[in-house]
Amino acid sequence: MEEQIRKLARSSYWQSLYRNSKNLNLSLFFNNNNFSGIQVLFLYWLKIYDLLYQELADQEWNNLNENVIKNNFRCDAFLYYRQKEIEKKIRKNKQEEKKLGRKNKGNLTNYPIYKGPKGKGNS
Amino acid sequence: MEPKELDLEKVEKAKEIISELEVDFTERDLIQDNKKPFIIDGKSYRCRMPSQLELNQANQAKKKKYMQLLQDSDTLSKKKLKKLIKEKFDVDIDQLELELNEVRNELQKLYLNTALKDDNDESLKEDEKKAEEIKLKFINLHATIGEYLEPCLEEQLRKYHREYLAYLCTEKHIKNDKWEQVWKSFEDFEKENGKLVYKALDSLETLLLNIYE
Repeated sequence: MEEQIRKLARSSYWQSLYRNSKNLNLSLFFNNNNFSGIQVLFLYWLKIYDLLYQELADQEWNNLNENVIKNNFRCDAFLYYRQKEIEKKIRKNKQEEKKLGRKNKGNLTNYPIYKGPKGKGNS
Repeated sequence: MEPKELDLEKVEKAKEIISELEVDFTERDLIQDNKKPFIIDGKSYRCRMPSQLELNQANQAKKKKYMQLLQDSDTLSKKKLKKLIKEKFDVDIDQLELELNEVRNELQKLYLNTALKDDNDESLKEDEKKAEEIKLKFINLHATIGEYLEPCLEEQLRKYHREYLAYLCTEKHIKNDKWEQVWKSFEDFEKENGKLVYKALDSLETLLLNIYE
């Protein structure tokens, strides 16, 4: 069943409907609440494929192309790889922020200069 | 008159549309609505998603069942059942669960390896075949663990909860847009033994897809 759901979710019809539903307030389903597990899964894959097609258009990844998106196995592999790459970037950014933080502690000009209590005429 | 050259882009688009139409019609209906219809012996039934009130009713019933099972000396928690299975059959369920994690890791390593390959890499088909084998291994291991742990308190409660929801959410078609609950009470549901109960449970599982777990 998931295979069929993914096939529909990445189709140009459903992708177009999904993108336009946000702007035009279109309903994707007959029901507006009480979504079934299948509908939740379908929404998940709609979002994922929307993201992948956007990243493909932006050429964000060298190893992402239409053939990868259309093959469930290669798509799963790419999604896992993408998750790991993003986690690496986040860790690297945190480490760099820490280093910058340590560097700034040695720079006295970054400390506010105490001018004494207010109203006591200190300049 | 010379034949026109095929517009390849249009051909690809047409192929995509045809392949979408090949998707099982019932599965497209399942996506667009939160109900699953079925027919038994020529009569129409449907299973629908529970309302908030029905969920509360099912949760209350589950709590009562929990208290009943706690007072039953034959009831075992998952932890105690695992211990008993190890003593009686020398099967270590915790070890099997660790194996399950290892199989998951094996698949993830394969993913990282495959993600960097380009379209012309001949080993892609082999990777895909290997992934199917790993997934099958995972399913079998998961099913084995499930079978061993089925009698435990937690699994009995989960099953009871599903049955209670099936009783609340299965309807039979009367006429036009009118639908009526099949069973007037949970006792009626429990007494019934036939295709309808199995189909109702199966339909509910399909609709829910673990969203309440």
